[in-house]
Amino acid sequence: MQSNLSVDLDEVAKILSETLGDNRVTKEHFNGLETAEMGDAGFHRYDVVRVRIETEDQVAEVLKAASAYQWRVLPVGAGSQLHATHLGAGVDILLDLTSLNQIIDYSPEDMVVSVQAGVTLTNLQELLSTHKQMLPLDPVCRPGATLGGLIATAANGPRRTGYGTFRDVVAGVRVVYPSGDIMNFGGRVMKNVAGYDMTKLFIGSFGTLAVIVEAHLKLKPLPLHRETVTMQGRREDLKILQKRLVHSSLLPTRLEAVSSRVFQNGILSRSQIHHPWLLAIDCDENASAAAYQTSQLRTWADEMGLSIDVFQGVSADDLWTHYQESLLGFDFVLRLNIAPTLLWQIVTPLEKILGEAEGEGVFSLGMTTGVGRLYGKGLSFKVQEELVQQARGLVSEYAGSVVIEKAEPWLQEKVDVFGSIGDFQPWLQRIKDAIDPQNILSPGRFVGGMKNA
Amino acid sequence: MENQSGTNVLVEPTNPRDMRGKVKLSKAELVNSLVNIVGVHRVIHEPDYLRVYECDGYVARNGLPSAVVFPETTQEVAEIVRLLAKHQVPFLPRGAGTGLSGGATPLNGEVILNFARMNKLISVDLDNLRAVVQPGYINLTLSKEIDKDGFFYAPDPSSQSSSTIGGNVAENSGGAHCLKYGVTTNHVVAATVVLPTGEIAHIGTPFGDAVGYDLMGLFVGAEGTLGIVTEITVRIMKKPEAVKTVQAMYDSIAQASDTVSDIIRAGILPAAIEFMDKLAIQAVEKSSYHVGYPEDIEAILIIEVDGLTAGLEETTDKILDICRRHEVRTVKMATNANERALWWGNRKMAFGAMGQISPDYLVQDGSVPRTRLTEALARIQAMSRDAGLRIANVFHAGDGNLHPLILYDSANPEETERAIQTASKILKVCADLGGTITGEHGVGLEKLEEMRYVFNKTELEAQLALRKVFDPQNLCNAGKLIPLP
Repeated sequence: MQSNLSVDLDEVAKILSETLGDNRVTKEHFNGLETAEMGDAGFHRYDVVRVRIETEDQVAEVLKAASAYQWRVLPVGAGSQLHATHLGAGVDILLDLTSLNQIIDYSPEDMVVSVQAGVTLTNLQELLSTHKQMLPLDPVCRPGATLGGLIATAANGPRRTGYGTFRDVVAGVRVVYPSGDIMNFGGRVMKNVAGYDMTKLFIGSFGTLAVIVEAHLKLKPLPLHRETVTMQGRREDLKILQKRLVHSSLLPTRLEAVSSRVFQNGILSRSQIHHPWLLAIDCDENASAAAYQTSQLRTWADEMGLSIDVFQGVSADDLWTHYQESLLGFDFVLRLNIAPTLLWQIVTPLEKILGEAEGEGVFSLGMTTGVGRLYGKGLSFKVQEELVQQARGLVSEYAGSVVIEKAEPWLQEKVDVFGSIGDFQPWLQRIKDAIDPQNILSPGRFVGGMKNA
Repeated sequence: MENQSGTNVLVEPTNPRDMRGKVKLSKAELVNSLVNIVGVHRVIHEPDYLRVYECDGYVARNGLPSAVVFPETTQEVAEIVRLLAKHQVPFLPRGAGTGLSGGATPLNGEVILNFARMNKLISVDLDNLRAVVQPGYINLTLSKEIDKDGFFYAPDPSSQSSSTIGGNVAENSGGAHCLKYGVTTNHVVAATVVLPTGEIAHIGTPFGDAVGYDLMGLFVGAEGTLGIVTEITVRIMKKPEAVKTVQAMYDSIAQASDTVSDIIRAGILPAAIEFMDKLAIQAVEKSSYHVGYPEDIEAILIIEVDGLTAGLEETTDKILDICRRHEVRTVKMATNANERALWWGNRKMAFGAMGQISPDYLVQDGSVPRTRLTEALARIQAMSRDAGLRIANVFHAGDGNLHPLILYDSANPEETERAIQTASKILKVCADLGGTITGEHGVGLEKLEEMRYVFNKTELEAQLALRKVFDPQNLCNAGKLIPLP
């Protein structure tokens, strides 16, 4: 976890300055996280060389040098996902891609945009909205989060219910291999089966295989009418509602069971909160279809005695912005992957632990995706560890998994971020070895077998 | 399925290879070893019976397998593969053999693992929107099975009444409705696989995101070169409440393809937009699925939208309006399910109907950005004139996936060669227009050389390096998908 003593960072800086120019290379302290919001206290602070990249050729230059000299390189954008996994053996170079931030090609009629890795999701959505389009993904992330970082960590949010995840929207990537070779996989077309679907490998690879410098993204029309319905009730009633929704023809694009207090102060007043849980149900169809969906939900609410609130247009947007901003403030995030109908079963014992602990914990459970998240704040490390172990014990019976998406390095050192990995683990290591034989890219940042040699 | 043309030269089965001093099995020993695993009734080895397996839906090249074996369980598949790997006998998996690019054609005397007996639906979980199937299970059977509960499996290749889900996984099959619903890779979430070394692994995850690199994503579309899927978990969906189908006839190809762009620009996401040109229409009108299209129209669009009944009329009104703005000759909506079924039957018959107007045809499936469709079609027309060959176009216009059908007579070797050359040129044009050489039919044997239009040497080497991770001995469907640099 320290800087590599055999690497002289002054020498690294000197060599890179000669290639790229002085103004791109600086030496700085690094604590393994870029976000000030996380507890720092000098944890594993060490020196690194930061290289600010402006062209993909510069990425290639750095990687070639790194391969030649055995330097360890961490590609970073805004650093907003660095808390997702700890950095194992440490790094020598931060490959800062935030200035590689051009929109290369945007063709609204093709519903495809090609962006460089440093383009932020916020800026991209703004541009797309002027053409009434969107990237249909809504991970909980800071406004500065870059597409490169979000793709590399396969970040996702509630919209995966209706639109899927990065693996469904990235049509192709341009990557730089550790060898310095620049390669294109996939493309700008909707359907493409030429060769292996290499693009999938890089999505969610945490920067351990190659540096993504450009991505081709499939877009969707911006829903002209937005409508979100929240329904509160007893847990047993919400379970029934979940089943009714799955068996209905309704078209929710987001369908989350959320701790009601996530929406407290801002969306729902205290007097509007009647139960600890609510279902938030989105409709991105046109106004007539949304009205129908809402009327159907109203009927069910009446039948079951659930309280219902309807948000339209800007107020629906506000609800989800509030969701994002509120959850961003939590410093501990666990992702549960399990059959949607089993989510409730896993959550109950976790609620019990939270109930007896100092601090706060809220949930957001994808009612058709089976992706549930626990967001914690002010929890002791002991409680965090207990939550992880408890959740892993519970899901293990059902072939589910529990991943720590956000935590301080302390916990990540003690408890494996990814948990048990399946019988395919040897092949993950072999893929890593085939693409990055010298292990220069993000060493130790990935699943169990990816430890630094 | 016997080869009836008699013009194809059968390749003699090569003996199992003898490399690195490993024990070489004689054909008899090989067959005996296979019989030991699965029993005598599940191994075919007599040349007359092996001929059925000399090629798949791509008939231009063929070869005889060493044997065909019918496993029934993952364990049997693993045992067979371990045996073959140990003796370095090449092998390949085969579903229904409907592939269009030669992915299941044995050119190295492979042992074929035929999945006809692994054709069960293992489980359905409607509440969690998942089904688990064996690889030999037929695509359409799944949708039929869950139809009574109002669910369906979205990927719908035209071959769906006979092609298997295992084969669909290998090819990453698309279909008419993937404009809205995506292709196979978007619907396959987990699988049990037997790797080319005979080891068993469980990849992907039924729910959420798998831990580690996306091996499931890598396996879909790998054309059976990285391993063999033996159990597949797929996502199933609730059927849309309502469907509306629009048929629009045009006097100009350009107006038809501009209509497609305008529909998308208007923020409408149809479930499907299908295009047929004049020659294709003439062919299908001679088939049993004739709709009664006028002979002189240049293009037809079939546009389908689905969703909640309440919002559909608004959407179809917009579509009708866009069609009219593009000088459509006539545009109408299907008035009932029978009419819709006729229009679709007519469209899905198109490949087969080519037999009505030509002794043979070659089908390609290059893909271009939607906005380049008009240009691509014009260039295909020019190539048709230059080559003196008729080319019909039937394709998924919504996602820019072309299906030019090049008509020729295989009795004329010179014309055959000209047809093959023209097909390759069309793929070059697709690549040059920012598209690719195959949208859904796969590379297989057919488009190996054309891979160089879209990948440079380094990119091909990178893919071969990945293949080697899984298949170090190069035994599993070797020679397909990626050309040697």
